[in-house]
Amino acid sequence: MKVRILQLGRKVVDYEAEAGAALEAALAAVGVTVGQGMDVRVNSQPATLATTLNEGDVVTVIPRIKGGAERGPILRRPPSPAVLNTAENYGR
Amino acid sequence: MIEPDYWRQLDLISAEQLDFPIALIGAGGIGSPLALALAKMGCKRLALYDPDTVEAHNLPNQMYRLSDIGRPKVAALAELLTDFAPLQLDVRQERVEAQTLRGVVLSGVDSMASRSGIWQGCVRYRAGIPLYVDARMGAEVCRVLTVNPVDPDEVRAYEATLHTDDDAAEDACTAQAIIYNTFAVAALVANQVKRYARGEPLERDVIFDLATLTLLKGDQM
Repeated sequence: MKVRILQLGRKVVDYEAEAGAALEAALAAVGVTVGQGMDVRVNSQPATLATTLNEGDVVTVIPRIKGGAERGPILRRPPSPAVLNTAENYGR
Repeated sequence: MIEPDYWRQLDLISAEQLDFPIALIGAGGIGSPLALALAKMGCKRLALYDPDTVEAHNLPNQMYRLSDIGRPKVAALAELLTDFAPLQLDVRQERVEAQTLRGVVLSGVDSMASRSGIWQGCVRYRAGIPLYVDARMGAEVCRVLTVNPVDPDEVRAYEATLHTDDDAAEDACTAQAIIYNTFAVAALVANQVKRYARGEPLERDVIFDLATLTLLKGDQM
């Protein structure tokens, strides 16, 4: 049976799984590891590694992302004055 | 004074429709391109919050110039914005924790702890905030959550996404940010602002993944 495995941030694989295969086996077969901070869904429903797959299922592995203005590896300078609503800071 | 001519976008959004206060929290990978998008769209009133200064590792994935290194991000960003468009700017080099925010609030901060602090301290059930947009990104994935902070159902759904930093996926330090993903997340947030301004339906939860070119929204996840 065909299932689609979508690992967000990595890859999408259409996989020919054995009938009644468990999610864990299908993920292992296509080299997807469910690590820390990952949610797994089958057809948009929460799933576990023991979930049994069916023909046409779509497995989605979603990372819980947290970033934005990411922290750098170097120490930050102390902040300068708190309020910058001055003509000088607008540059021109 | 020379004014931008917005006629090429008039059927999408007019500058007059964008004349409401917007608070942008974070002037980094999400906030700096988002601020430029908002300014170019015709937003009129923008408050910028970020405590940090520009560092060399910010240059590849944020809107800052070589000459901005060492400057407060909000000051450097304000200078860029005023080169692009006439704006009323409120520029604050400070972390947002318990300030009184007004208008549409857009968040692009760097940790779940910051998100929880902003949500609890400034946004949750605040009547002066009609819309809150929380943008998150990592590597080539971004997620945009949109909330009416006084709607109990939306509050409940949003709070279910406030996992801890320890429960988040860990990207390697060298795989956290790339410039085109910051443009993608800025586009998704700016689109929500446009939808709000026009009274169009909002998307409460959107994930866009450039690695697989997948867009998921709401119950598709």
